Amino acid sequence: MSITHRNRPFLRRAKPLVQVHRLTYTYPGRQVPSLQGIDFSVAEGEFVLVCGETGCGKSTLLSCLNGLIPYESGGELIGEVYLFGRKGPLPPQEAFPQVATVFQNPTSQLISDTVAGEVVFALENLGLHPEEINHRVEEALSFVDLISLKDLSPAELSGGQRQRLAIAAAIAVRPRLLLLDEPLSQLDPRGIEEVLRILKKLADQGLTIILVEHRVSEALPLVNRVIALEKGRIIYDGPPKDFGSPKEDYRALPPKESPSSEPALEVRNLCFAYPGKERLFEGLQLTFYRGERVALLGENGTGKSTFLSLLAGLLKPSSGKIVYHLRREPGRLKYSMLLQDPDLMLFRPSVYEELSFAPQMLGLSTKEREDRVCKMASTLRLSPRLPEPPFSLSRGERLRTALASLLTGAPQVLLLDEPTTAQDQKNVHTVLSALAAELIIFSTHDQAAAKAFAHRIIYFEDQGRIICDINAQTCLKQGS
Amino acid sequence: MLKRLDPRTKILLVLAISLLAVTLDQALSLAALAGISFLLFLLGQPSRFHLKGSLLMAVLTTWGLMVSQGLFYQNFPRTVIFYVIPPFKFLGRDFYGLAVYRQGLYYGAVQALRFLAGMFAGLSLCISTPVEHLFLALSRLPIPQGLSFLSVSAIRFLPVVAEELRRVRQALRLKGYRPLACGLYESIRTELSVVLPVLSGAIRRSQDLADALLTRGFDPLALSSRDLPWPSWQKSVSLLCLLTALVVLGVKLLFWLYLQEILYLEGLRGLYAFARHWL
Repeated sequence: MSITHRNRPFLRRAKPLVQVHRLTYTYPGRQVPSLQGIDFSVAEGEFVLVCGETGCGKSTLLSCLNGLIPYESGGELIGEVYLFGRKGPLPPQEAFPQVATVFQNPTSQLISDTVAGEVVFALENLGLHPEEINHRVEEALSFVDLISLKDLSPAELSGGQRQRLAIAAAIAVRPRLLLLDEPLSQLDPRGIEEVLRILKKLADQGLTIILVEHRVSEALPLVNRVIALEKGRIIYDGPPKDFGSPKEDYRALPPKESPSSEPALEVRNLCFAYPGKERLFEGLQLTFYRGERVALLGENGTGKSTFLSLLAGLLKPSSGKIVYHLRREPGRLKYSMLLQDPDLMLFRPSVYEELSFAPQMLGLSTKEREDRVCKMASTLRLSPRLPEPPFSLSRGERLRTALASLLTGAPQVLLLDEPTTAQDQKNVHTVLSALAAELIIFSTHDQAAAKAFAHRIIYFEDQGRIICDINAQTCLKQGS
Repeated sequence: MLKRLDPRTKILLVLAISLLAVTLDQALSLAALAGISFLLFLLGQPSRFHLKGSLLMAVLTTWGLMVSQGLFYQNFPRTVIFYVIPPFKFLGRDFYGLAVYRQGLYYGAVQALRFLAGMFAGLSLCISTPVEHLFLALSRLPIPQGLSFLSVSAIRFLPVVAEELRRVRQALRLKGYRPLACGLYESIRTELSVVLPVLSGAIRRSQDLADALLTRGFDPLALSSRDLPWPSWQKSVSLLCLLTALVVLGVKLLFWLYLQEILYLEGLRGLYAFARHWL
């Protein structure tokens, strides 16, 4: 990323919608401010991308605009925030409906039992007449192309559709400023495309949008301004064409050694179906080799996670077999798996205890345990965090802690369910560099990471059908 | 038929039956209430599985309560029906044996009828109402949204919590954990620690939900204004049932005041007699 420091005049436009002047914010109980001396203004109709690494203060900045900071979070806020000419930050209830926010996780922000009900919720809070509510629901759902699904439950929608629904619920109140907090981070490529299409339509209609996102390359073509943050400070504020977009550069990853021809794991005629649902896998045959790194690609719901769970023995095949050929070695786990939500893998009071759990279960001596913990903590940049509770760490650090807690068990086969989702590139790089096992199989939506790290790429399609099982090198050459 | 009723009607009916089940003391009245409740359950068209399961539960509960109360009834007077272990002398001491008492069986039957009335009423609501409709009805009740909406959300998250608990246990396995393989103390400590990620997830989810609500103009103190038509005949019937239950409660209170010699009104003699024999 090329970093440009520029002078940013406080008032860039004649009628700024948002003005932030020397904003510094410190979360309760923290010593270091999460935002430091932030200065910027946003004019009506601008589409601004706020980017930066995990923990740089992007979401904190957004919360200062919608009023969740300081009214809900507490903490110390210094500086000035003006919204629509009013001195802020305004409490969220006062900022509503002029400010609407779409959050990262589409599931946790949807609260109604139908798609239409979701849009109705905020409109009823506005106290509108039922006729006006119906009109606006139709309008908003048509805008995001969900009108035909209005009677469905949000649980029946795909990730992209849910995020579009969240956007519909936000724009139905006709806000002047739309804030989006990493709306793409948990979506597959199709979902990202769907959401970006909607955002482009909104921007074309002149709505002021501030989009916080670390998937910069996808968002950059849409916006007319970029603000980049680093450690709570603005390091770039200008047009996207001058912004050195971070390339998905994985050249520094450890070189791939050729896998051997010795089979490590075999999937024989695997069939699987969830109770009461259609069959997901039908006669799947696959062989994985010692030293191989395999990436599983495909949209959400195509069976990648189910496949990994079957390999890890968390689900039982309806028929067929999964055969591990590697001979069990003492002091090592036969296989292990990083779950999609790494937070569910953290249950010890400190990072040190978390990392020493697997070696302890393997019956290793205290010295051996310490050696493994220290080595892995150093590899995954966790050494200073060892005494801290895992839940006090940032999202990226929690992922690394969960991974380290598996790697200290030195698994022979390592399975990872979307280790790159919602992570910035630096974190993805650190994670991929640390992976070590005789066989690594991981699911991801990050095609660049898959091509750079894996020997082999398997594409899943609907009903767990494999449409492609190819050498990653071939894939790279073809640029597909 | 029950499936077509508005969930609010069913909620109020269940509330009225539950209120009567704890208020009434006469076996005949309770039997009638349990019968109505069972009829409601049948009107809900239970599946064979639900029917078998609930009947088995009803029989076991009634049997358990009657036998336990029949055997261990401590109040007087009590009439022995038969002895399981007859009275005997041992080392110069008298033992009264173990008997089945008529009053105990009656008391057990009354408690069982209370339970059955509540159980079948609750089951009829559950089997005849989709979860979404139940949530919808609760969130439309005329109480502050902070109570109705958030209690509904809490219930909605229960399956998520159960799923997370399952995932955490899977995570333990993936880290090589086998119960008791690392000693009893460590196993107990590990088993207890599964609460940590689940609790943390619950806090995170509630924070996310609270943020989403606040930024969408949610006012927890406002009364729900959502319009959901409630047929007037259903509203009348359910309110009448609830009113009947409240009247019975009132009569029982008056009767209790009379029994405790706190309040006696000459004009209510007929009511006292009615309460004594039927309620």
